[in-house]
Amino acid sequence: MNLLRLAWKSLLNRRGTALLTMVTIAVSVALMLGVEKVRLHARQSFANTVSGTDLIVGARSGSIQLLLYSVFRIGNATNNISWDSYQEIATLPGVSWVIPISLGDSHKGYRVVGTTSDYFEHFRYANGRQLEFSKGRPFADTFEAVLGAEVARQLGYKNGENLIVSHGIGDDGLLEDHDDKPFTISGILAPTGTPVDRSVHVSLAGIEAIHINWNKVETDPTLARRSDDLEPRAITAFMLGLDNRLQAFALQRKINEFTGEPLLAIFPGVALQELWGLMRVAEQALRIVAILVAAAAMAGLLAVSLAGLNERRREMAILRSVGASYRHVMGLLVFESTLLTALGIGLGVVLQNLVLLLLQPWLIDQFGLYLPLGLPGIREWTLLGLLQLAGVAVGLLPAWRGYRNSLADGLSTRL
Amino acid sequence: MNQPLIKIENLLFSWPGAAAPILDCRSFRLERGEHLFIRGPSGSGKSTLLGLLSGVLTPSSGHLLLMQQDTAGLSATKRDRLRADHIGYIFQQFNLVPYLDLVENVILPCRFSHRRASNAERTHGSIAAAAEYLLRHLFSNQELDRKAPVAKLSVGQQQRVAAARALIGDPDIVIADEPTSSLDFETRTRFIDLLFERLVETNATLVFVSHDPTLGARFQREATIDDFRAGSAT
Repeated sequence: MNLLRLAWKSLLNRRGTALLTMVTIAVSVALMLGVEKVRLHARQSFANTVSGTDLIVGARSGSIQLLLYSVFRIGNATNNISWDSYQEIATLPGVSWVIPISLGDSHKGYRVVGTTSDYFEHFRYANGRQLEFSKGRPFADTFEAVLGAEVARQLGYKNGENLIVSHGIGDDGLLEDHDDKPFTISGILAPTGTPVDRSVHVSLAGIEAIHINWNKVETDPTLARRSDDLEPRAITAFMLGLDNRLQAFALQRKINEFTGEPLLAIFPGVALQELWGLMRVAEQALRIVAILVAAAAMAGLLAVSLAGLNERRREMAILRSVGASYRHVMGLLVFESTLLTALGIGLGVVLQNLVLLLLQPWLIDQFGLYLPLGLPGIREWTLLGLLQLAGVAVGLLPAWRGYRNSLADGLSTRL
Repeated sequence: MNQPLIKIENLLFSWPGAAAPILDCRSFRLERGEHLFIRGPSGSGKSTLLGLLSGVLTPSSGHLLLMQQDTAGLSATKRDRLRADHIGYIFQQFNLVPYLDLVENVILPCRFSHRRASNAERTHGSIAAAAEYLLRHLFSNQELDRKAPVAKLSVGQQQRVAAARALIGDPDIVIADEPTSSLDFETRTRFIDLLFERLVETNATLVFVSHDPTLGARFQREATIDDFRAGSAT
């Protein structure tokens, strides 16, 4: 039975408060790690979402709003762009490609994106990667759909199966279904880690078709199929690539001064920077909360150690009487806070991963944020190292008090 | 050459900030094997004296030699070492560490002193055997559950465990601070008998402090706390 075992037994003897203190530290560690993880991966995953697009064009609103609904599929557009304006800009000289996007419908909580096959050819994410099909091919018919990887996985769809699109966006079941016009799955995309995974892609004609005679039950579904006028009247937004990126500023000005209707063109990178700016406030707030919680945990540790010190005066005097030096006594106290902090950190890492495991689906669903499980990175270990140092430092005050007590008490155990 | 285990010369002790010294002792010697009884009520400077004798405190002036070493010249760590190696200590009550079992409590001094650990091993073969030997003798007439929580023991039993702890590894000096004042008459007599038996066995020296003057008759040598106090005639 060495001194460490003695310290361990003493701590075990007070396991109630020790456990609570440890849990407090663990919660603060989990929070701290969680905040850091969200910070890191939110940026990464947002930055990976769009690549190679020179301009995003939508109805005039805020640039962040346009970025959010067009690329991240968060929120809704306030206005549409007329098909004529779209055509006019798409055919301007210097425009290399355009991807129209028509939003507003959903399938079991996943957004339906009306677009063209250019989407699969020109859309880029994560440093210029192109979309790939894990199964099938792009839609070729009005009533064909291409599923994002997660939609297919979550809903268990296979190529060739049918699905029904609902009108509007929101909770499944509250929405009215376009059940007179089912879509056939023509392809499933490989995972990208972007909102594409959570989208159902259909042609613009498909979007038009399901809204023909919308809500009229007696409509013969074949009517829509036979209809030859499936040209959309409006789209929600479009992405645009240029032959020469240097023309981007000129084109942006041109679009922003477009006379037909009020439009807004944004550089995705610039809008992302604006988004960071917005998020920085939230990040800082979260960080400060995490630091305060850590500080509170350390204060708790200190309070518990100091309160315990009075209870343990007798224990210390006994140990002194059998030959423990004041260094032993101080060592016991520092060891205790060090151990509690270390255990708290370990538990916190586990706790953070457990919470993340539970929240992962929800985070992907609600925010398109994929946070991987795993051990903290170097940056996080540095923070945890600082916390551990604080834990040791917190042990020094009771140790010093304990030393003073042992001098004042001598070897008396009367209390 | 027979050196005293404790030797005091012109000792003065005052607490920091106090105007007058609380202890004042010109000369005092304690030889090996002596059993000294010091009579004195609580709050008479008794704790201070025991603090000095056990090397926790050092004289404000003068000398206190413990095992021929002047405590004033030793670092706190060296004095702690000296105490661990040479002194067994018994408190009035609450002697035992609640989270250790009975045997673990007894062998505690061997964890802080190699000297006492090796003494125990040399005489009894192992530390555990030494603890067992002492417990068997101190609890000769009682059954004892070695693994029972120490808080379950009666006060008399706790004091015997404390005595076993003070005696393990054959320290040169046993200091007992009112060890019997929580005990009834019967238990008290038995406790002192058992303590003497073990002390004689190892020729250890005893300093026994109590406010109860009736105990003094059983000791070879008697003193009162006044012999060490300032302002009293010596």
